[in-house]
Amino acid sequence: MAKTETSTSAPQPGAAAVPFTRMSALALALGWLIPGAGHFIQKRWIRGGLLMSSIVAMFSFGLAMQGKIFQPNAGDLLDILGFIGDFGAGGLYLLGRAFDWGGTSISVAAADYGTKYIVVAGLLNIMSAVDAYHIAIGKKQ
Amino acid sequence: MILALQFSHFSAAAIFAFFVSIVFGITQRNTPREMARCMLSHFFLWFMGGMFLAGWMMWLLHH
Repeated sequence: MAKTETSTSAPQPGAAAVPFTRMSALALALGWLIPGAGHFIQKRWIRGGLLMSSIVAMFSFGLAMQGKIFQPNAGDLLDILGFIGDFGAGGLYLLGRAFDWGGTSISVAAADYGTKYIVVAGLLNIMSAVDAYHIAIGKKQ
Repeated sequence: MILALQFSHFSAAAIFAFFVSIVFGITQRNTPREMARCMLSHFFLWFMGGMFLAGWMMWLLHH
């Protein structure tokens, strides 16, 4: 892989995992807020770019299919889980709420797919942020 | 203008599998070579294979 995949500030691969540090907290928080950013700050440019493009594309496709963005709620269990998934998208979710993106009701099959795309984009973003955290603490290369 | 994409079931599932495979490949494997191999051979093909299998199962149950 390219030289850009190596990091100078991260712990050496194979070394024992280091405890919670400022970098690991930043990687986790920034990775959640902006998809792929947790990898970018650790100079994992290719991984970060692929993660960012995949998650943003999934979220965008979901919106383009008139998918619904869930709001915080205490009603139906599936709506609560939908909100948790959506919220995982971080900044994309906040933008979606701020600009009132997404459909209001799921009336066609494409909108149902779109809703799932948005939820899964959020869940993938959580995986991406946790991956950035694992790299920061040296648990992963 | 409101953009409203209309994918078929197959297209929607294939696009879903494509993006999910990329993220799974990167987050579940350690080296770039393993990531690239797993994106295609493990995750994407398993998603697509599972989709075909589920589709035929539903067809058989329906008939």
